[in-house]
Amino acid sequence: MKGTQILLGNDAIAYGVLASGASVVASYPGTPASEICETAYRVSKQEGLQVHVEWSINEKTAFEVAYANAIAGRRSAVSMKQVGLNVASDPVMSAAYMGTVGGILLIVADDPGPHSSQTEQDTRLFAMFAKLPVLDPSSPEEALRMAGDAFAFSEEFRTPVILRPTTRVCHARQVMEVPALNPEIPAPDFRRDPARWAATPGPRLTLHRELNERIARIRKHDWAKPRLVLGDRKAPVAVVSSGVSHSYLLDVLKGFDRWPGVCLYKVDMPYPMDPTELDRIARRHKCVLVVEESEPVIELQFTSRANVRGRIDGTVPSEGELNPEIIMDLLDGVTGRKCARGHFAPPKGRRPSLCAGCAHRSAFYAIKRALPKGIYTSDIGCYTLGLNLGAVDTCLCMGAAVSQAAGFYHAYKGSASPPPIAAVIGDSTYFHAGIPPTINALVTGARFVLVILDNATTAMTGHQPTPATGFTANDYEGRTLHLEDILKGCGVHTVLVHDPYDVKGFRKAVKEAYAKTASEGVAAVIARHPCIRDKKARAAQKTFRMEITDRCRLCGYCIREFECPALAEGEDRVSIDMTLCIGCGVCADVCPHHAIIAGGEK
Amino acid sequence: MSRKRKVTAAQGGMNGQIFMVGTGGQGILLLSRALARIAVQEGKPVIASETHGMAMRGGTVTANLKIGDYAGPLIPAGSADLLIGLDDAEASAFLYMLGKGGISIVNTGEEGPFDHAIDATGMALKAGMPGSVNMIMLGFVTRILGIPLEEARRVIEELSPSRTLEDNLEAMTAGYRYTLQRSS
Repeated sequence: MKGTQILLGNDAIAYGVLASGASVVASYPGTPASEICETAYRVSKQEGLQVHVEWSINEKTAFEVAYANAIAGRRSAVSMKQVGLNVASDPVMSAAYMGTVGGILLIVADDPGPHSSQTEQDTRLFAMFAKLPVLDPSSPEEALRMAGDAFAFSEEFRTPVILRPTTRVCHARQVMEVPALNPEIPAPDFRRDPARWAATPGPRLTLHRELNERIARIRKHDWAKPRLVLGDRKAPVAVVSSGVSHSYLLDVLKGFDRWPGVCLYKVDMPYPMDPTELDRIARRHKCVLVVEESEPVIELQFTSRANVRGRIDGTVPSEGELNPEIIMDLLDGVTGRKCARGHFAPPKGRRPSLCAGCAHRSAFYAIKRALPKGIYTSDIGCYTLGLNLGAVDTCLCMGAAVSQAAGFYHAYKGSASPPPIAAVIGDSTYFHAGIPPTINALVTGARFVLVILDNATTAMTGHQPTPATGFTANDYEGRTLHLEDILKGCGVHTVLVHDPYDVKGFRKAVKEAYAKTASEGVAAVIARHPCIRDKKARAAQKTFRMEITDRCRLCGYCIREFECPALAEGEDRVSIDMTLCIGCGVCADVCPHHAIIAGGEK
Repeated sequence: MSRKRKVTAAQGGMNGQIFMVGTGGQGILLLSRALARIAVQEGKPVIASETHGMAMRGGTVTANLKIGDYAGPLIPAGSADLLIGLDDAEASAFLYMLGKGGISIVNTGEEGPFDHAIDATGMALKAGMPGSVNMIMLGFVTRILGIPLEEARRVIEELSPSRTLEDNLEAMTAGYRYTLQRSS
């Protein structure tokens, strides 16, 4: 697999990791990071590398698995999206104190925009908080190089290193040279050192001092200094940038040639930086513009910011993604020229929607009818799009559907007519963060229906396995664990399993579970139907030839209440978009006028 | 139906900035990857940007493909050389991406403000392959850009899973031939 290839940023990172001899790669899927672990698995298998690759149950576990391998003297990588780092923050903060033996690379993909996330948080700021060095690649090609170089750096300074790509790096494709994959992987050699690996508060103070000294040493490293890449040192305006913003700047400054008197510095490692070098730049140029995503991390490390423009003084917008147009505006702003092409507000675009034929849609439709006027807490995944059906009231973070349902129960329990509460959570999300809050709810006497949407995959992020399908990414298929057993093990007595394609039956199951909550607290319904994007499952499923008859009165009920993207208002009746319809047949049960017919099987 | 205009992107094979837009599920990723591969086969540097995740579920999906000496994956508004629309409403909304002399190639069944139009959806449904709009468009685009059919076929053979290869090749060839008929 050597030679020139066109690689996705995430694929490039996986190649960099494998070429460096990582022997453990662990991850929990999350856009925009998911493909890193997938590719690491696929390529390590193709090349016969001795690498343990796993989809862990959550990011905290992924980090801990990888970290153990690292302190046994071997190279490890762990990847996640930015909010996944919140979940993993406990071990990461502590590992910064303890350091490492084998190189450990923590890859955290940020999502300015945000495109597929609940926050725009900047992992580089987290790195500053944790006192860990962080690299900010500006392109897929650079991400590959940095992923490779980071391991030796991690070993030299005995510290975990963070690689922070953003969506536009993760999901960019670029032509590059792919490295040879014949790394040497050392045998594990864990050396006992309880004062470090099991440090109690006393020795932790020593470790903190060590950590501070380490960061001070790293500040003197070459990576901690901005590099001049375009223009000259005498330019009145200096732009200091990192990440993909730097690539936009290169394109804009080279391609448009309209901003004379501007030079461009690149930052590879936005934390920790060499403050003397930053201040030298601030003194050398009349004005310094810092362009970085998403928080002022480089900017904060200038000791004097009198002539520094960026996010702190409001020059750069404080939220949203940077793009070439915004960057041209910023250049105009600091040079006093008028070269930008004006603002093009991107069209609002179509809202995303659950796929035509998605069983989640049927489940939401049925839940709303089983528990009208209920509070529907929900969670992170495709099924957040149940919003479009009015069947999602909350979506906070992974696992919160369950704990928020309990919270709402306690809030309303004294009131005259407490609303029914349904927590709706996907299977992968439930495994990730739903189990402790289920136990918590039962122990504290909360009452609600827990619906687990079990499509046997992690659909939103590209169909990674769950513990119920066989756990790891390696050939070892893992033990499969069943949701029913887990729920019963947590103390849930009623666990009903139903296919939501049968809308009436599913509705009945939800009602039955609700009736049980009075005596049992939490009662569960598992909505079991495979994701229709799973090609095998799709092929195994009955499909019908759908037809709208002249009984259709264009009442709009199906479009409004069922919200299938294949249904649209037509001229004299609702029309079906046959490029989208998969012939699931569910809408036939939804139409109040029986105008939709599920004809013979296709 | 479509205005005749000089196809600048056709000169010297593939060059410049190509902006693609459609809706989730239409297969814009495969279209973008195929065009990128064709450029790579021509020995050109390529950087492209894709949409993954939530937006893929039926929402607006865009892809940027930059062929030549570019560093960043996004095309600045008003500077695309070519706009490919898999959906005409989305294409109209994003016409501002085109630069001076840029051309639009759009899947539409109606008259529109586009340089080249093809009813790829109609063709796909007629052929009983509703999911093949992207491949029909690929064929049509390669024809307009003056890329030999064989080159595009080779790329599809590399990129398609064996299950869909035959259908993809058939759809692409249909899109390619569509122009041939029209221009003869």
